[in-house]
Amino acid sequence: MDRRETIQATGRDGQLREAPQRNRLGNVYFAAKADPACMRSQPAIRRIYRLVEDIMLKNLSIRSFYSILGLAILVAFFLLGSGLHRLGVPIPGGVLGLMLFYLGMSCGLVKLRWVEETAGLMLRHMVLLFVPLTVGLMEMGALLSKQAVAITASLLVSLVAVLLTTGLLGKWLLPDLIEAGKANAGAGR
Amino acid sequence: MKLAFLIEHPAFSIAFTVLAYALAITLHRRWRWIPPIVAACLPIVALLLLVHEPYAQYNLGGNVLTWLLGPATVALAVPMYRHGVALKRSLPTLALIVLAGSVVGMVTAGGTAWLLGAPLPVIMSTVPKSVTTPIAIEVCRELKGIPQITIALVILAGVLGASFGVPLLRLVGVRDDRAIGAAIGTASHGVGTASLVRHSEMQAAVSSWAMAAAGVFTSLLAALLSLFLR
Repeated sequence: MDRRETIQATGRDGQLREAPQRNRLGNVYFAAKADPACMRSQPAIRRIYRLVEDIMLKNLSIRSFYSILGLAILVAFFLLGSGLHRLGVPIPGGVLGLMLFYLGMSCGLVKLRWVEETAGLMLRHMVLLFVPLTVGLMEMGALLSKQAVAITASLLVSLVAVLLTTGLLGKWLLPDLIEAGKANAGAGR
Repeated sequence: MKLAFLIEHPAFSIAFTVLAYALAITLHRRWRWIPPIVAACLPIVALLLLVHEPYAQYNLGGNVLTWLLGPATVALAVPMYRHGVALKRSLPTLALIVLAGSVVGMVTAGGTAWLLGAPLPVIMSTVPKSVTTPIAIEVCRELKGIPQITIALVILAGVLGASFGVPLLRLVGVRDDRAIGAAIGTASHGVGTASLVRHSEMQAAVSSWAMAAAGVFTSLLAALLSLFLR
């Protein structure tokens, strides 16, 4: 919420891929080092996080460590979500996990840089993960050809409907926000 | 047949799937029009038919990859969070727009299939067709649909939206980058988002936020729907 958050935000809002990995992680580390005051003002839990991170930075190749840690964190949140789903929350476990994870990141419990690496990898190669299910289509041939018309029609109608609704609503509602944003920025100065 | 045991091993199907995927990606890099998902599936289907291995056998290993879709869903929070910080001011309106788009998408997809007389499981499989695959599959299971149909629809929605979405939006006079991003992200999830990256950073950022938000909204709405049906 404070100085360190702003350092993180400025490091992050530009195009990330362009920045070399070492710089990005180094940034946060050296900023905290150069200004120990921002460490002391942190609550205890944050200081512990900080310490663990420093140890990892010194002793491990941080990049590969983060990719393993990231997987563990993502799996943990997924399992947490699935557990809640089992207990009777009617939302899919993965989505519950996503929401909890988002909350965790917003309140600073989980840091974006811990999972960035793994999340990027999984999202880029998500296609691999649904190959087995798609192969299962080979057993569905009969049903698919019987319902082909209904399925295709519903796909096309719905696709156009979604595009138009969202696009037109965006066209009508969003320009106002630009004005409001400019007004706010003006008032701030 | 000593080789049979090798092919039946779950690790073999994982390894073969990864290889097929790597090949598909290579082909996709060379010839852009080849969809990686199709190119990855064909060698696997060919192998299964060739050695007369049932799909259930292959899926012992395949299940492991399918399971990883769960953590991949959680990973969607990362682009959502990252772009949420940058888009802060427009977020409430964007959320409203994406919510409206998700409702319209679910109603029109299910409604059209229902009007054309499809059986209930097929109708339910068309409902989550606009959201990103892992969420669509979970929603489809929740609604007792057929996951394979949903996957086929999701992929088609992505590919069609990526190719014809932006021209259609321009035709009706939508020019705002955020509006285009929101529309493509809501209608065509990750595939559409990937196609926007080349045009504009703003479009792609809004689009990946909208894709994750649409997933969350759709699963919440589907939860309501399934309570209603019970």
